Amino acid sequence: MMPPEEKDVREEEGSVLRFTRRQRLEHHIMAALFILLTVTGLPQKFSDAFWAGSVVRLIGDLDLMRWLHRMAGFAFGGFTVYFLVFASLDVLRGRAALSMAPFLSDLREVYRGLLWAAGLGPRPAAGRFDYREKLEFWGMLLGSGVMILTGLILYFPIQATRWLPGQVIPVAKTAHSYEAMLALMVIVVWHLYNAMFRPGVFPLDTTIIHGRMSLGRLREEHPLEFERLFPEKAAEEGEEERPARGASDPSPA
Amino acid sequence: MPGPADRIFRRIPPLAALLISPVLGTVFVLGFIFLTLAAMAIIPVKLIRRGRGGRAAGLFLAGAVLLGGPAAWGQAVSNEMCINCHKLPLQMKLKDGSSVSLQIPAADFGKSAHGSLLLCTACHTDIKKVPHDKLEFEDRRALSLHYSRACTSCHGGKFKEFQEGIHWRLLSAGDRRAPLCADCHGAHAITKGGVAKGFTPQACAKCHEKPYRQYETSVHGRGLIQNGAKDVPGCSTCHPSHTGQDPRKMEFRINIPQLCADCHQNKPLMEKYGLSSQVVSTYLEDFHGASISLYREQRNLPPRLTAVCTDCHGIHDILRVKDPDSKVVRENLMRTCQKCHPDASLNFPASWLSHYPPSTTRYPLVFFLRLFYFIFVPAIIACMLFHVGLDFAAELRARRRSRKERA
Repeated sequence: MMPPEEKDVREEEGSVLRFTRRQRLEHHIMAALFILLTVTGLPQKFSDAFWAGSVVRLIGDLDLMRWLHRMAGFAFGGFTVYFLVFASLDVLRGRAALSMAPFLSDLREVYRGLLWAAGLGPRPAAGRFDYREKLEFWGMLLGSGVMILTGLILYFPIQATRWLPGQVIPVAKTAHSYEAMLALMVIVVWHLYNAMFRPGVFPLDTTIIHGRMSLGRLREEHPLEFERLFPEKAAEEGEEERPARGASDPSPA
Repeated sequence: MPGPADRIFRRIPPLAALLISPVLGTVFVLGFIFLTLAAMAIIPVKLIRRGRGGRAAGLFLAGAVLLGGPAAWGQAVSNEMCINCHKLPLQMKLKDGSSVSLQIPAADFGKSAHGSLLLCTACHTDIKKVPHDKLEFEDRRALSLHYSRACTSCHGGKFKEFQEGIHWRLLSAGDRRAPLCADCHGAHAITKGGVAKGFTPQACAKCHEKPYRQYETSVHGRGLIQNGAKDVPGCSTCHPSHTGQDPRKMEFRINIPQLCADCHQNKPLMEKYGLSSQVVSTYLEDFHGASISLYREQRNLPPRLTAVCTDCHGIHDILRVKDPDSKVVRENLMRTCQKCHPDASLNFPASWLSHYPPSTTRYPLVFFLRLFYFIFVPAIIACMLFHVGLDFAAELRARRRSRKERA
C-alpha cells in the first residue's frame, strides 16, 4: 500500500531524517504567515477590546494592517495550493509515502492513546505519523480551506454577491472569524503542547529545526516506522526489549 | 469694559443702584483719603524725609484716590437715563447710507436675562455721559461687530469655547457673515437660559438655508418644528454651538456614530418613539462599525472612512427608515450602497445585517452558523485539553519509570 519512504539514516549519529529541508522551510513559512495573520486579524475581530488600539498603533494604521492581513492571506492561500500540488506530485511520482493519510484504524489509535494516557494500556504503536499529527495536519488543511474561501469572499464582496445571495457575506464573516479562533486555539492547545510543552520534548521539539529524530525516540514514539526502516535491528531488539517494555506498562498489550 | 462697580451693581436693580451709587462712591473715596492720611501719619516722618520716593508714592496714592475715585464713579449712567431717550423712535444714519433704529422697547431689555442685572453701559462701554457723543459706524454689521466684544468680558468661558469653532475662524479671517453672539442669542431681548431658546433651527437658517430646508422635512425636523418635541435634535445637538467643528473635517466625521449614539442608544427615549436601541451596537459589530472603532484608535486620522450613520441615512434629510423616500428603505438601498461600492449588484444590500442581531427568522444562516461554532469550538478545545492533561501525566509517569529502570 505504501510506497517506500526515502531512507536517510545516519547510523553514526543515531538519527533518521524526518523532515527534508523543503518541508522544514514550508513549516517555517506557514508559521510566520500564521503569526502575521493572527496579529493583524485578532484586532479586527475584537475591535472594541482595550488592546486592539495598541496593535493598530504598533503596526501604524488600520489600512496598513488590513493590507498586511490580505497580502498574508494571499500568500497563505497560494502556499496552500503550492503545497497541495507538490505533495500530490511527490506521491504520484512515488517519492513520498501516504504516511499522513488518515485511516479508520486511526480512530482505534485515538482510543488506545487515551487508554495509554489514562494509564490503562500500552503506548499505541504509531507509524511514521501518529494520530495527533494526522489530526493536526488534516485540521490545518480543512481549516485553511475554510479560511481561504471565506477570506476571498470577504475581500471580493461585490464579485461574490454577483453570483451568490447577499447573506454569504455575513456568513463568510462569521465562519472566518470563528474558524480563526478555532485554529488559534488548536495551535496553542494542541500544537504548542505537542511540539513544546510535552515532557519528552520540552522546551522545544528540535526535529523541525534540523529535521532529524534520534533512533531512540523513533523507536519509542513511532515503533512501526522504526521496524520498517530497520527490520533486522527491530527483530533482534524485539527478542530482548519487547517484554521489558511490556513489563514497564501497567497492563500488557 | 465694565468696571468693578458694574460687577457689584449687576445684582442690584437699576433704580436702587442709581440711588446708592453716589452715596457708596462718597463713602468709598472718603474712606480711602482717611486711610491714606492715617498711613502717612503712622509711617515715621524720618522715613518719608529720607526717601523722596516714599513721599512721592504717598502723594501719588492720595492723588490717584482723590482724582481717580470720583472719575471712576462718576460714570454711573443709569438705565433710566438711557431709556429716557431710547424709548423714542430714534434713527441712526450709517455711513453706507442706511439707517438703524435706536429705539429700545423698555420691555425688551427689562424682561431679558440681563434686564435686572446689567447697566446699559456694561455693554455700551463707550457711553460715559448723558447726552453722549454721536457714534459713527460704517454699516449695520460694523455696529454689531463693535458691540460683540462686550459679551466676552463676562462670558469668557463661552468665548474661549467659541474661539475653537469654525465660526470664530471665519470671523477672525474677516468674514463678517459669521455669527456673533447676538446673532443667535439676540441683543437686547436675550431670554433667560437663552442658549437653548436662542438656538432654534430658524436662527441658523438665516445663513444655512439649504440644510435648514432639508432639516425641515426630515424626521428630526418635523418632530421639533411641527410637533415641538424637546428631545429631538436641533442644529446645535449635532453641531455644538460654540465649539462647532467643521463637519466636513475627519475629526467630526469619525465621531458621528458616537454623536448618534447619544440618543439612539438611550433605551427609554428610543422606546418612546418605538425605535430600536440596538442600532449602534449592531453597527459596531459589523464591518463598517468595527473599522470606525479601530480608525478612532490609530495615531493619525485616516484619509477616508468606511460608512458612518449619515452616509446611509442622510444628514439633514434623515427620514423614517420605512419612508418610501428613505435612502435605506429596501427599494433604495442598492443605490445607497453604490455611493461607496459602485459595482454593487441587487444582491449586495442583503450582505448588511440591517442593524438586526441574527435570529432564526432574520439571517438564519448566520444565526445557525454562529450556533454551530458556539458548540463546535468549545467542544473541540475541551476534548483537546482533556487529552493534553491525561497525556501530560502519562508522559511524566513513563519518564519516571524509565529513569528508575536505568538506575
